[in-house]
Amino acid sequence: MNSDMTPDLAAVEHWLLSAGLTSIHHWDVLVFLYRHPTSLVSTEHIARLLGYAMPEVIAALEHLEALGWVSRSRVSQTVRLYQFTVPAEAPPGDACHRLLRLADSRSVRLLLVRRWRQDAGRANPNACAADLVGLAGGKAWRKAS
Amino acid sequence: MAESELIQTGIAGLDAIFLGGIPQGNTILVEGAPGTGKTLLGMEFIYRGITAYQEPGLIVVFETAPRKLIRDAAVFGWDLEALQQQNALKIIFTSPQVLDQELRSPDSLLLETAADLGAQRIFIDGLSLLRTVSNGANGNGNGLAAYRELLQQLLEGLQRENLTALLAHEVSAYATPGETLEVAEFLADTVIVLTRERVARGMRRSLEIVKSRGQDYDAGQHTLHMTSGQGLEVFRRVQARPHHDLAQPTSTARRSVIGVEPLDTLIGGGIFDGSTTMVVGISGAGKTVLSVQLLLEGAQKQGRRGLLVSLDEHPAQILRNAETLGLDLRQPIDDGTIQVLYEYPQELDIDAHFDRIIRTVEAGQIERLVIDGMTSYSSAVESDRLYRDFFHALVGYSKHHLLTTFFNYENPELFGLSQFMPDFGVSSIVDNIILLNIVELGNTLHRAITVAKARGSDHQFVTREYTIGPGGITLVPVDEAQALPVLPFQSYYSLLSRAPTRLGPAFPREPQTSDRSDTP
Repeated sequence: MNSDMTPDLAAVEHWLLSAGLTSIHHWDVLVFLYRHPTSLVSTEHIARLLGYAMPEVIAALEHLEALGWVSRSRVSQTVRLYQFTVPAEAPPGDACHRLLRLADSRSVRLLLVRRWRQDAGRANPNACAADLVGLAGGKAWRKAS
Repeated sequence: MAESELIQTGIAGLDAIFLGGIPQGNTILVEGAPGTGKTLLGMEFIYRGITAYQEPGLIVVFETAPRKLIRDAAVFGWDLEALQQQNALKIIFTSPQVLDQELRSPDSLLLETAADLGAQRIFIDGLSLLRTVSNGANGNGNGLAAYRELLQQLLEGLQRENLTALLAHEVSAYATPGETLEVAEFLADTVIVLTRERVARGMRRSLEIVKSRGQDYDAGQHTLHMTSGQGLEVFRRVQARPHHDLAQPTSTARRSVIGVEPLDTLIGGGIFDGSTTMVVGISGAGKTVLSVQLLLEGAQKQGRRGLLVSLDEHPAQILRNAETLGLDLRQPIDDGTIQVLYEYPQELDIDAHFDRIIRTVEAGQIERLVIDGMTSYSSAVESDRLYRDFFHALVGYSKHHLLTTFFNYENPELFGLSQFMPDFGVSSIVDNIILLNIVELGNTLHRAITVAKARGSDHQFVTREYTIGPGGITLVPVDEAQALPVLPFQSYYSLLSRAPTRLGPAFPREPQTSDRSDTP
């Protein structure tokens, strides 16, 4: 990394893969949990705050829980207590902590958006423009369906 | 109320204005506009609870990201992250809807978390958002009545869990407090109002307790400071009624106060310990020099520690000026027997300034206090009333603690004084008044000292010439042989016109009252 402000994108990509984060949804939900380390919320609430559809958030949460990034309590009237954790079996090279230091940076997000766009384009060359709302202000998201 | 029945907030100065703390079981409502310090007060309430009183706590937020709270707290030196890791704190992000249902749910995750933590304190930030719950998601709720009931349920739930709750409620800076605030004020046991106001082009924060069930407290607006690396600090307003009893210690011990023998003789052998003295004179008359002599005499010869409070001169300048007169102020400052408290007079916060004086006096076991530059206070504080209150508070404190205190007052009149203190008359509350005048003789200016008032002392009611030179102020010796004889009043006319003129031998003498034939 050149500095905290201008990370080396190749290194970031390596850290993301090491940490098991493969989509923009994973990253956005992870950053949400990092900023709100103990949240007593419903998945619907998270989805609303992030501007994602519920299934995407549920899938991301399950993925992150499997990786050890979050622990979830039992359900109490549609809500759970989500607690952010750093995986006990962290990937080598301190990738988790390096990534978390980039939580407020646009770099990771831009990288993931670019990759996600490429993947979406390969899967369906005509879907890309319709699915992506845009990148204005550094924010990219898919319309919640 | 017994101290054990009070909860200490741990916030500097706040428990003092609650006269020891807040009764256990009281629900505390903190209200204020954005930027007044509600969230900070709530965070510090929790932080101090954990670190000072071993009472774990919960912070519940609806809108602010906990990570930001952790970051903001770090500015004040509070490591909330570490407290979370120690399982003494949990910052929970949730929604008003969830909080409502959780406090009513028998298997509440929130209360389970509180129990696991052993939480004794809870801070809920953004109480007014509960209104959205009472309105219903689609706005078809029962409005204010539902909100009131919801709030009651919330308070009931918190009390059931034996949590001391501090709730923050927003107030719009541009509108009158809303209905939700009014309801919350009715239901809460203790209500603290935080305000932020413009003073000239500056800004001042204040804190006021408007209600606290089951206790007395210091009413009125107190100053609130936010200090990086420290936290909040509440400074009791200087006008607040002191809580010590009305009996005032009174010294009968007389001390030589200045150390210049003729000057002490003029004052009647010295002034009483615990007395207050106003030194009045134009700039350059020697008020500060007299003060330095007083402090040096006390520190070096009588073992009395002194404090010089200055708004006029920086300590370096005071030291330099003293040295030019051969007065060694550096040594006692170095060994701590004399302290100098300098504050920049612009935007002086009088409550905080008063508090600093008191703390310095108490920590330094000060017995002699000099306030150098009362005139600077009149321009530094925003109102005459505040200036007067500060002065009264200082005189009151000084007398109660038997401090020998000198106030230096710069009189604007160059030759002769027509009033002791032209801008406000507080001379009646000091015990002694020393006038330092400039007198023009021929084409030369001379300095003259008069002790105009010295309560309980046999002072000389004469004006003496003095000089300022090596060693400070010294009186010019009087050659009795050269002195004019003192004549009775009937040898003068225009006595009350401030320009008495001695009668010549040829001047016809006015008939005296006793000479009149119609006098019974």
